[in-house]
Amino acid sequence: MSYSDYGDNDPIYGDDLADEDRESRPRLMLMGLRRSGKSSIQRVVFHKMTPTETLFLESTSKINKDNIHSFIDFQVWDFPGQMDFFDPTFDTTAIFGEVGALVFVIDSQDDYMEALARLHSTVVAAYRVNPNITFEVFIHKVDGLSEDYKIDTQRDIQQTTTDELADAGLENVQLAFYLTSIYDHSIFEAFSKVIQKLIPQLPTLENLLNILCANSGIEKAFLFDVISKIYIATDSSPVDSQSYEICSDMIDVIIDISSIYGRAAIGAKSQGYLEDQQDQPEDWTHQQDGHDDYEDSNGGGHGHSQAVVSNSSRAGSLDNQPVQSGGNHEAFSVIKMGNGTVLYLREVNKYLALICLLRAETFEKQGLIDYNVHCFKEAMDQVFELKRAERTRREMEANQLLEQQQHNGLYGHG
Amino acid sequence: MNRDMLKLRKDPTIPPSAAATVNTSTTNAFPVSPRLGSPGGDNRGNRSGRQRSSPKGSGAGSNAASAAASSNTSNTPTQHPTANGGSTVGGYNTLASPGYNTGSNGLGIGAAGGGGSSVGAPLVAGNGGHSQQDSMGPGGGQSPQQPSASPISSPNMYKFDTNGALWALSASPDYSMVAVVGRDVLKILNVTEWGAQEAINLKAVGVRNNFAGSMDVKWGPTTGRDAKIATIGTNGPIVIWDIGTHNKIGRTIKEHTRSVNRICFSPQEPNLLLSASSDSTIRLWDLRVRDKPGVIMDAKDIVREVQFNPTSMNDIVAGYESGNIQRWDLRNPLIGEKKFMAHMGFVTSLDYHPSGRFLASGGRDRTIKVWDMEDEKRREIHTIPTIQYTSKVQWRPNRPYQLAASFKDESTVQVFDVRRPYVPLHVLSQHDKDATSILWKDSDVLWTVSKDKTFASTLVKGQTISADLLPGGKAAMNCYGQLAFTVSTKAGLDSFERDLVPKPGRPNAKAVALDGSSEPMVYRTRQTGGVFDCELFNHEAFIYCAQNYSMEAGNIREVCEHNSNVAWQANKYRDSQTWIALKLFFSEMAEPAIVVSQVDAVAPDITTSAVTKEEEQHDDDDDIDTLETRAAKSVVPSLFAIKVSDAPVKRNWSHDDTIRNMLDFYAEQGEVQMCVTILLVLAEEEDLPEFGLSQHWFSSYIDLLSRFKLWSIATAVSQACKDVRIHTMNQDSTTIHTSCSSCMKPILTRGLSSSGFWACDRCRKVLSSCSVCHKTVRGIFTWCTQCSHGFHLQHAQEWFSQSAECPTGCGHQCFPEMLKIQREQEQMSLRQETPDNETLHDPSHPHAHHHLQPRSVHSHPQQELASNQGHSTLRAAESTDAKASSPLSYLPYNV
Repeated sequence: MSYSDYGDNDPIYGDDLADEDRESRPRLMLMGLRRSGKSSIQRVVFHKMTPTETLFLESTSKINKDNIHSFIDFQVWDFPGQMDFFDPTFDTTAIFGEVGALVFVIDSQDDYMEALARLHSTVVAAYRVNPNITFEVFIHKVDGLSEDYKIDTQRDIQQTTTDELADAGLENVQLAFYLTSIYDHSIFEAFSKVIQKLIPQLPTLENLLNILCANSGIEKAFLFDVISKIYIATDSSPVDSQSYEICSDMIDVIIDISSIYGRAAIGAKSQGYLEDQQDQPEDWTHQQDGHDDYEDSNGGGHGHSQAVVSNSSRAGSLDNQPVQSGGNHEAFSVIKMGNGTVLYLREVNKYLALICLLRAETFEKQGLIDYNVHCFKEAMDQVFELKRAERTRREMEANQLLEQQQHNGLYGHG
Repeated sequence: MNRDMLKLRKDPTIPPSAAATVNTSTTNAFPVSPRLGSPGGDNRGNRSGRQRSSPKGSGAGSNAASAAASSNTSNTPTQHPTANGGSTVGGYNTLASPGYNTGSNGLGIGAAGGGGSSVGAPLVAGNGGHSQQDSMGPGGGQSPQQPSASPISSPNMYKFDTNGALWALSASPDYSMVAVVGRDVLKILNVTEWGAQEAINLKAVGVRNNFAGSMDVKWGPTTGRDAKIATIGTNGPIVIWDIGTHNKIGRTIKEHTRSVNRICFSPQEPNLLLSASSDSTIRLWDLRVRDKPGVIMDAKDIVREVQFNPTSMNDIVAGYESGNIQRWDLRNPLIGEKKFMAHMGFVTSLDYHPSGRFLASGGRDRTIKVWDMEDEKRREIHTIPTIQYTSKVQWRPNRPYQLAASFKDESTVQVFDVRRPYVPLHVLSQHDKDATSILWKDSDVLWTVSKDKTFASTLVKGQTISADLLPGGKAAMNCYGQLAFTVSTKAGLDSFERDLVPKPGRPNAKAVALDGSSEPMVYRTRQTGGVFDCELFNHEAFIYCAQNYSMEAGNIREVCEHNSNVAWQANKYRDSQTWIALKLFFSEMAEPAIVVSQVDAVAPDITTSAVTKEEEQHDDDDDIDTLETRAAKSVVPSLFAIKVSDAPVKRNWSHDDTIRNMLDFYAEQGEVQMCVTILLVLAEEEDLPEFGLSQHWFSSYIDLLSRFKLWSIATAVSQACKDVRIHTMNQDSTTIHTSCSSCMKPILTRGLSSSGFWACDRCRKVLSSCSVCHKTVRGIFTWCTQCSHGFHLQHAQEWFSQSAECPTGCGHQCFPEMLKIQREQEQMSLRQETPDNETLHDPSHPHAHHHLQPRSVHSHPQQELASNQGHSTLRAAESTDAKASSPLSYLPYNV
């Protein structure tokens, strides 16, 4: 089989490539030996499949491309494990040329020597084509290993790989290693770090979050991509797994509660996005033109928890101009926990939610925090406005160039 | 007084200053919404502290503070903390007169402070460890002059409230001043052994320049007019403050594209500053050259921590987000040196041992590890498990084996001795909220800062050694009736150093002396232990009986006879008698039985009444034949005639009560073995009632059998039981463990040792290799459960079609049936030669009688697997057990 005709015969993903501007999409590739868990990772992280269901996934036989419409649009390419790079029909340039990150999955419960050899050849091949790829190695299925063996495995894999690469003269290739499992949050955390490397605005976002935390007494702030539960930025203090897990769980709680209690519609046209969440994971915000705000408070039945959900007033897709309403129209929720910690969620834009962890006594000044978060959102908008402006400018330039060429061509022919 | 302080800070109504200071700190992104003081009474205690940050709320408190200071006649250097403590008491001390609660009267505060200390001293006396506050009160200020009067007011034990959550601290080279920073605090304190006092508040300058707070601070090694401190602003840049001349910002370094996580001054070269940043670089700055860009070391990973080696000026070490630690040489900033995987998750803290050779690292995986940086092996030499991940770790000066650590979300600071990693040497609970950073002033005084807004100094020497609080005695019993115990023989308190002994024998490769001595010392617990044989349980008889009792239901007579003999052999005479009685009760009596009959008319009314009673009890009306028999059992008659009937007597009464009493008796004695075996033997008896406890008996018997590693018998018992739960207990959550076939070391998890799954860690032999072809078996592995040698199935079939002995030459006859077959074949051939020869049985065959039917080799593993199920057994244990036991070890049972 030739891999150069990827996507053409794929009814789901085939047409996506045609109309999207290719270069603006960072591409994320999942590679690894067969049965190492690539498709499971993809399904669990981006398609909300429960980990136990992945047992029944069939093995992937061709490159499976998946466009993730999210905060940053990117593609996940799920490669079949038995792919052979030395197949002459395998077009390495086409595949590795535009890749942002290459994720190599190793089954840690298996004898991984074969996987390491494959990793080595993959890295060598990909680096030759595109030296800008970031290589990420997921030491996967670590849920079956004891704590001591986890670190031994990682140490062993890391040492072998870096030594081999050094022997091949590729000391400069930097591989990042993560211990992952689809049965806990580690896979999301690892993906977060992978995605963060593909976001050019990360330093700005981090700085904004730092300022927000410092001025609002927030202990930890995450900017979550709601669909995948990946955090695309956080403040610079170290992330401990508990705080990430609780924030990630909060998103689940909000989505679940709002799908139960969120009122379906005011009038026929309005529909809360959160209700659609599970059916249409690609669209957190259901598109709508109305500004029908509603609040649904269900704090009564849940003791300490109070989740206020309101739908987005934003109209149009991300490409359109967001409505600068400045009002309190976004999803918003506060959960007060028994240990004096408050979880504060606020929708930032169509795909992103800000979740903050703060002490209950700090939260007494909620107005201040609300205001600061609002400022943060405006700053975020400005950051991405810049990106959009940049893109439109480039497009316009390209168009102008094209017109000019056509013009010139006309002259030339004439 | 101290207690009141504690109570004060726990008070939830106090608004955190983190939030309060938002008012005064202005940033571009977040315009300030002015906030006036919170409703009166809430933060009155904080008022004196807040005077700097919130001008609006400072009125009464600052007045009170100055009034208290002026009213205090002893004009000691501690007057400022005095005022601070005094006003606090005024706000909150309910022990003092309620009138002071207004907190607006300066004289009142002063009096309250005095009163507080006089009340406080006896209060604190009871709690020893927390006496620090005394030195701060007016009374405490005088106490140094009369140490005998209040022995608890020791030096270096105090707290100082800075009105803001603190994150880091750093001391001046002479330890007379300390810089403390937090998200909204930037202060320099004068520190003496009796207390701290605010010297400079840099916040005003900081706010103007937008560097309101700081996450880390380092005091440069330069002194005098060149004195510098470096801080990391919460929003990015490194700020160098010239505090020697004027408290101004000397330089801001903004080259890092992402936030800076740690800075570090070179101990040898005072103007060199290292910074570790999230932008994956480590940069070296020379502070003498203002415009020179830093030397960049590209770490390719988020750098969390960086430290200079105290003995070698070019050697630095960096800790990364990925958990790696890497060494760099400043002379070659292009390529990093040795890099090794240290922690799972990021490295939080690093500290070089004063010797410059060892490195302590704390990581997200909740461990502190000690590394020998001169060793080529990338293995830690010590690991200390901690309650949370460490936020800061530092070696204790002059105590080469000890280090202190603070933890995330943990208010205590712990001092560890690496030689005894599982029990902290000291647990210092100075703070009410998370302690964030630590600093040793000298070998005995530890300075800490915390989110509870305080800077604290703790005299570590003389603190309780937490190991001393642990009970030294322990006892445990095993299934053989032996009691193992330990008794602590600690000589007294502070015995830790004395419990160190030179390590005997050859030196352990991992044990390295951190103090530079050649011989590593190890810790020895001062405990005496012993084993005491209680002889509560005759395990030999139990094992013998377990192995030999027959549990076959149906043929009660023979089984009881057999079991009776077995019990007799095991010197269990009562059990033997019980079995005989059971035999009499339940067997169909084919032999002449002794029938006791009563001479009639002696006590006819008793007899009849007894009979009627019996009849009411048991509703069996078809089997009543001889009234006499029944009466003989139930009443005690005066006269008997005994006759021997020669007709087979049918069992004609129910033994419910007897059996019940008997089982209860045995259960009371703890003899579940008898209970279970009797129940199993009588399982076919239809009219046997249900015994409520039978399930417990079964499970405890199976448990007991498993403890004696009698797995096969335990499985047989569970299979023979009719109770569904017992019968199916090995059908759920079955774990099959494997062990090395040559050295019996259990193979714990797969693919994890250096050699992976394919070789044994201990004896380095290939696992699961075929004994015939010596290759690794993939797929179905067949093995002999007794000599534990394995084969490819096909090879086993081929081999054992020729021979009965194990192909490894271990001498074991893995397939005894083959011997039999061979002999039969020989006999056959012999018989063909000499047809009159007819003997067939082979008495020399040792195993023949406990295999019920000849088993083919390939059915063997499945059978043994089945017997292993549910008992988490090791195959090795099974086979050793089988080898050790007598040929009778296997009961005949059907799988």
